[in-house]
Amino acid sequence: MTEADIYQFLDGVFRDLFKRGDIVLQADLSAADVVGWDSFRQVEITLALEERYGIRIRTRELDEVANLGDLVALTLGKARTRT
Amino acid sequence: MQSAALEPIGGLSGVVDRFIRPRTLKGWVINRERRCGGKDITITARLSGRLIGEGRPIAERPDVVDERGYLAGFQLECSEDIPDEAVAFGRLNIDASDPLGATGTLPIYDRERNIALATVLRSAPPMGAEAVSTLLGVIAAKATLTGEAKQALVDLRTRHFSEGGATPKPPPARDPAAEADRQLMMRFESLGADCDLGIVQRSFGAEPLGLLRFSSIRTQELTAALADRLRGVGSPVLTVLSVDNEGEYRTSDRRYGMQAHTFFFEGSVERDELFGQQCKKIAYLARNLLETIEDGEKILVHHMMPNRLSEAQLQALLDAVRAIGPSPLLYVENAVADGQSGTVVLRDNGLLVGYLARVEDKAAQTAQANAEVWRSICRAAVERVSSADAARRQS
Repeated sequence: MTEADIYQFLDGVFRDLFKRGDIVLQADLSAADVVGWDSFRQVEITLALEERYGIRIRTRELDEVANLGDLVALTLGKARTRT
Repeated sequence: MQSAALEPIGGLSGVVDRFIRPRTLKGWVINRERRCGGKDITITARLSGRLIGEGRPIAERPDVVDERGYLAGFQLECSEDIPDEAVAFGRLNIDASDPLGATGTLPIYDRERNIALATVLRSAPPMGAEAVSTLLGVIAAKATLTGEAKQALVDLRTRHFSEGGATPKPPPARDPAAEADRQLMMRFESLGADCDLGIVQRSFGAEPLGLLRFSSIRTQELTAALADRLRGVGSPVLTVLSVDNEGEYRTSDRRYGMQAHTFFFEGSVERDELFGQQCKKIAYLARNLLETIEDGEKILVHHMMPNRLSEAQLQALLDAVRAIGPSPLLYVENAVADGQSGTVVLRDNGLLVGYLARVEDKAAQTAQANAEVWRSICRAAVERVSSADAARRQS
């Protein structure tokens, strides 16, 4: 698994959640850049990652997540540890 | 021949069904009696009364008129950018007329108006709760709002209103002092009973995820829920999804009465799907609240205004927390003495008690007005906890 895989998965999640296809997912994308990316949506994104990769992401860990790159790195680290 | 079901006005009917930002309008217009060809109709666009565009139908619109050669579709390239406000609030007027004197006013398609409205709301500058409330009341009365515009209303309310929830994100870290405040606020986790702390955290750019951050729950039920380690919270069997007076879906827990916004309105989302999502979300946040308490690194805050809890209620709540983990508990209540507001005391049983002056001025009774006092309370609480930890280590 690579970061690219996670970005690809998140692309579908974002399309689903925000009903938009024009959001370019990149490392420095943050919630401030996407209308509607709020704490509630963050939970949904997190749950999607947990389910897809069989991991657990804690809210406390999300406190440190500043952008999409951080979230992808966190997910990748947990997923690799799991396997 | 087919035509869309629009009432003819002055003999001409039509609609602006597409607004291509910043200055292109597309739509169709017909003379219902076909007294003259569509290409003879003149369409004008006026922005606040000022002429900004003029044109004629140039294309067939088989979806509107199935008569070959009848030109009904138009595209106006306006001379000025058209603000979304103008589209949303009716300052853009599109009129049509033909050489035989027939006239008509072309409405802007609801979808386009809703998109424009959503855009306006999402970029609205900060405004007071009263203004937002008035705006919401006016707009919500419109039956034509689509899910997108309704969602924008939710976003607006959460950005400006005390019930909060769906948040615009904290602005990127500003100066070091602001970042220090944000980090200070991230050290606290709301345990209800209201949304005050959550709103104050937002005012400092802190947006921690939390089960009770934007929920309401009574102290007694909170204590019972914690004593039961939040067992079953978020379970579909124990969760109820209902619609409030404003048409918003809310969840509540059958046993503990914990209520939470969903920020989705009736009709804008599939109910069963929403229910499933909300249950998962609540369960996730419940699981994390337990882990947070077990970690002991965050300070839990229970805020109860204007009523004061009895000593027995406080002890029961503290015991319920302690049974889960070592997180300090800060109880915030009304300040009753001069100079007390913004201070925190550490009681012998380990309970932190903070004092907040009650703001009597309703207009000022907002999180923003209390933010400075809350910051003082939070700073004092951290200092008390640090001192207690240091003393414990020394002994």
